[in-house]
This record gives sequence, C-alpha cells and structure tokens, in this order.
Amino acid sequence: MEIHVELFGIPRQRAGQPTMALSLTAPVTLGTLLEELGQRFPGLEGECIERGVLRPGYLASIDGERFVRDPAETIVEGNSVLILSAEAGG
Amino acid sequence: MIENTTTAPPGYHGAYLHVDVSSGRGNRVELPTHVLRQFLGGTGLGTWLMLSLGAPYHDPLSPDAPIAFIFSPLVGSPLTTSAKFAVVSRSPLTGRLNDSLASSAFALAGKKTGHDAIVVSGRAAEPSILVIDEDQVQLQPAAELWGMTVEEADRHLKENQPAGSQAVVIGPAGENLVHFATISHDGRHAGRGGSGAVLGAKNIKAVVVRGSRRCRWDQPAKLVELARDLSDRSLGPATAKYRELGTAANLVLFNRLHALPVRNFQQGQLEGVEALSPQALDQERGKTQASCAACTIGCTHIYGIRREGEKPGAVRVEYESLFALGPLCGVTDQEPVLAAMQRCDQLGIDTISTGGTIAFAMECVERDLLDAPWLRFGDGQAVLDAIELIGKRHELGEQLSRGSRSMAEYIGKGSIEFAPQVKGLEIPGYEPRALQTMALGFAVGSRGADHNRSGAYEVDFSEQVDRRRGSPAAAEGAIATEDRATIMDSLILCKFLRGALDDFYGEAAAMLASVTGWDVDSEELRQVARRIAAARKLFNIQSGWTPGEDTLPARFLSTALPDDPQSSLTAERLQEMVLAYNRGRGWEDNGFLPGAVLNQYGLDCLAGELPSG
Repeated sequence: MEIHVELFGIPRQRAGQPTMALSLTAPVTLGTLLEELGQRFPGLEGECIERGVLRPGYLASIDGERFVRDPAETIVEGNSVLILSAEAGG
Repeated sequence: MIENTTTAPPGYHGAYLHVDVSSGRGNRVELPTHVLRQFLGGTGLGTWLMLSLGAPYHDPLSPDAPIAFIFSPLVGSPLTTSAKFAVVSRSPLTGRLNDSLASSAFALAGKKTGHDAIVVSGRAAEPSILVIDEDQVQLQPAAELWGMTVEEADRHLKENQPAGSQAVVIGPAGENLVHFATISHDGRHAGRGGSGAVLGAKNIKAVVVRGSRRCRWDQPAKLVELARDLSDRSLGPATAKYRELGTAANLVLFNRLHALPVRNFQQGQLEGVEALSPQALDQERGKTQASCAACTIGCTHIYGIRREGEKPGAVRVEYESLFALGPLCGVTDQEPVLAAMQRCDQLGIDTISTGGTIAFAMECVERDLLDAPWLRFGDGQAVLDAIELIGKRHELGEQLSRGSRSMAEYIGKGSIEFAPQVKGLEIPGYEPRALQTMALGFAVGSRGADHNRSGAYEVDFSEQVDRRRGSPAAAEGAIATEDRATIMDSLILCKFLRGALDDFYGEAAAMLASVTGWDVDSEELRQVARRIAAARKLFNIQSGWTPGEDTLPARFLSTALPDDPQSSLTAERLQEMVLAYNRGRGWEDNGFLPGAVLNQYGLDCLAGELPSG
C-alpha cells in the first residue's frame, strides 16, 4: 500500500527532500515505515530514527492530526505521515 | 579585574544600584541573601524588585515608575547561553507585569559594574544617556542621538564611549512612547510589552555600563566541568533545529498543521508560505549566522535584503517576526516581510505586537470599521507604511501605537472580539484553536499572550494531549512548562537548551550550587518557580487584574478554524482549563491568591491589602 510521507525541519534537511511516497506491504506500522525511511535515507538513521524508532526530540503525526511515537501505531492506506522535530520554540 | 569581596553569596554582588535620573544620583541598595536564594535573578528577582518598589501602583510612563535591568548568578560563568539579562517593569501596553529577556554582552558588562541589578526611576530633564561605570553614575546629553535608529545609536555609542562599555538603546519608537517599543542590544531585543517606552518616558536614550568587578564561584572546578558538558550537549541533536534552520523552521510545519495564524487569526493555513521558509530564504538571498556572547548554539540566522532604490542590508530572521509581518498580515513575499522586520528593529518596536495590531487594523478595514483603504491584507507595502506611522505615532499610527486592544476600544462596534490579544499583549504565532494547551498558557500568562513565559506548546507537540481538544488535564503540563521557563529565565539560561537537559531541575540545581555553594536541590527550585509564579500574580492583582482577563478574545471561543473545523474551542472548555490551572497552582478558583499561599512563599510582607474577588 502507498503511504505519503512529509518531512519537516531537520528530518527534511537530513533526507534532502520534503516528501516521498513509500510502497509498503500491509500491515504497516509506524515502526516498519521508519525502518524503511532509515534505509532509504541514511541521513535520517541515527539522528531522527534508530532502527524503526523515533529518537528523542522527534515526533510523527498521522494526517497532521495526532502526534505519535509508538512504533506499533497502525498506518492505513491513504494516511499521510509527518515526521518532525518536537522542538517548536519560536 | 577586581573580585567582589563582599559578604554576598558567590555568584552575586549582594546589591542593586538604584539610579534616580531626575537627580542623576545612584544609590547602592543591599539585597538580602534570602531574597537572592528565593528569587535567584533575572525575571524572578526582577518581579521581587518591582513588588518591593511599589511598581504596580505607578503609571508605567510616569517618573515614579521603576524599570530594572537584572542579571543573575550564572552571568559571567562559563555556562553556555548564560550572558542574558532581564528587563522588568509595569507595561504601558497591558498595565500588568512586563518581564522581558535579552542577550549578550550587556549582561556581562552590567554585572561587572558590581551590581546584581540596575533600577532606574525618575525622569531626566533632557534626552540623556545614563552611564554607569562601577559606582560612578553620570547623565550625558543625548540630543545628538535622539531620533537615531537603534543601529545608528548603537554605532555612535561604540565610537564614543570608553572601551569595554556596553549599551542598551531605544529607537525612535521608544522616544515617541509607542506602547510596544523595545529595548535593544547587539541585535537582540527585550521586545514585548513596551519597556522601550518606559525608558523613553524617562528621557533615557541609552544605558551604558562598564566595570571590572567579578564575582567569585564556590566550586570553580565543578562549574567548569558542568560547563564543558553543557557546551558539548548544546551542539548535539537537541539544538540542531535552532543551529541549522533557526526558529523560522516552524513556519512550514505550522502551516501544514493549520496552526499558523493567518490574516488576523481568520485562518490557520496560507498558500505560498513556503516562500518564507528558511530553505527558500537561503536559496534566494544567502545566509550568515551569528550567536550571542557566551553562546555555543548560534541560533541567529541573518538574511540579505535588497530593496529597489536602497542599499543592500541584512536582517535577523525569527519565526515570530516572520509570521507576524508575513502570514498574519496575509503577506508571503520575502522582500517586504524582511524589510518590515528590519524596519521594526531599526525603530525599536516589537514585531509581534506590530504585526498583530496591523493585522487587526486590516480586518477592521475589511469590515468597513476603519477608513484606511490602503491597509489591506496581502499588501506588503501597506505593512511597511503602517510601521512608519507607528514609529512616528503619525495619523493612524497614533492609534496603532497603542496596540490592538486600545484600538478596538477606540473603534468599538464589537471589534474587541477579534483583537488578537490577551491582557493587551498581542498573541504570538501559535493558533490557539489548533494548540489548545498553548491557548491555556496564553489565557493565564502573567504578561498576557506569551510563548516565552509559557512553554505550553511543548505539551501540544507531544503524545500527552489531543492538541485540538484541550481539557483540564492539560493544566498540569501547562504549569510544568511555565515553571521550567521561570527557572530558566531567573537563573538565566536560554530555553533552546531545554532539550539538552535530561533532568532539568537536578541539573539546574547542580549548576546553581557550583556557583553559589548553596545546598539547593530540585525540590527547592520547584518551590522557587511556584513562588515566582505567585509573585507575578501578586503584581498583577495589585495593578488591577481581574479574573475576566484570563481568557481569549471571543473569536477563538465562538468560531472554529474554517480550514480545520476540528480546531475549535469553547469558552466553557477554556474556563474549565483555567480553573484546573488555578487549582493546580493552589490558588483560589478565580485566580486570586489565598493568604496561605502568600505566607508560604514569604509574599505576605509585599501584599498589602488585596482584593479576593
């Protein structure tokens, strides 16, 4: 199934692009999506992601609504997953 | 370099300097050790000073109104980001407490005068520069500087004052008593609440400080070890956003989340804001970076400006300035937004209040409540023209210069419902309906709608809450982030370090102990935070605060965001959250302070006769 990923801030800097579409085999969790991202974009692995888990200071959001970090969080077809820094100081 | 050998605790001089600029005389006033331990420095000590000097009872622009520059025990230490100072007074914009922070070398030089704080009261007979060279106080004529921009005045002082001097200045806006004028130093600003007008009302264009008195530290080796470790962590992933992109990185994310205030908070999203992202700005015009004195993070991002017919310039870009002078006014063109930021810096006006007031006026024009057809959303030149009027208080600028609340009271016709302010202070770049713990933080904030004294957005940007469905449970997080900010603003350390501290209170206590020798622990610092929160409330009660101020304008409580209808907040739900906040603080349900709280924190001697609602 196809999952749309949007990156903001440092994740965007490390990946070198703001968005991407990932084709993954269902069922997809946040953890499997992050593992895939870490493999495709090595700049993310170690800083924003670590073996399928968000590193401290980073968050995911499903469709721009809730914020999540649990790798077991289910992702369904058509979801947009945002990866961002939890630091929102202005 | 002279070491302070008084009986003051290590890290302190044990006294403040009180200068009456009516007479030009200064008086050294002892600060009891228990006050220093209970309020630390920075905004905490500043609040205590204002209470002890009766500031809540004076018109902020009157000669009797005091304004204080406060340092802290960590200033002058090797701890990264510690070169900061607070500026505290009663605000001409809100009538409530105004405690601002600014950075850099003024803090270091100011503390070397041999004082933990410098209080200024009175009114000089003519435009003056207040010069403090250790115990020597002098008023110098400032006729030559009066009318200069912040940058011009700063340059003039650097060229004409003795080596080692550092200065804070006001711009033309402060001279003209614009109610949100800033006090500026080294490109940084004690920005919110109009402290520049307070100084301008005293006929003081600049405060220049110089000295050689340093404080001893109790455990120098331990302090150096802590400082090295903190510096290492300040360069790690917790601060990467600030170092590599700056706070402007918020813009595109907030837009995606419908949390970006657009067109006077009529929407949470605007097409075209990518043009204002740090990546786009860097690509279009290049970037340099800078840092405050004694800071390893280096969050200052400076971009070039090219305006037709003018010589090229540069401006420091921060998210708050970008949103307020950009999307809040419906503008996404880089050039006028950056030019507007630069002009605010030159005139010495707070960009958030400037943008918020202009955006409010734009909506009034849109609704035919204000006859200024040139002032339209999306028109960058109109923003620039409005800024000039504000700086001079000319024509419409006279009304604009008093802020959106005052302007709404003048216009009437229900416009107060969409004036974007709390207690008179314009709302920063966090759409309250999309970030509802922040909405609570704004409503209860002691200086008004404020993203610095409240860090409640941290709770919204977590898994702890549903950011669009605030509940009383959010109060605990709002209090926790407020208390942590209070300690950081009193110690003083930059809040951009917070992600690098694993055990905030424990580590803060260790830093403080290594400087002062106090056996301070986490629990004592938590008490200090709660004491300062109560002291701030005490100031506001004395200055006329009523429970009805702890709310948001009607727009936010009656209208969902049209572009994200799930982002909606009701008055009832907000008041439940405010009630939970007051109870969480141990205050009365209506927000007044019980006698037991005043006694617990030693504030009863400063309280006098207080209403209880």
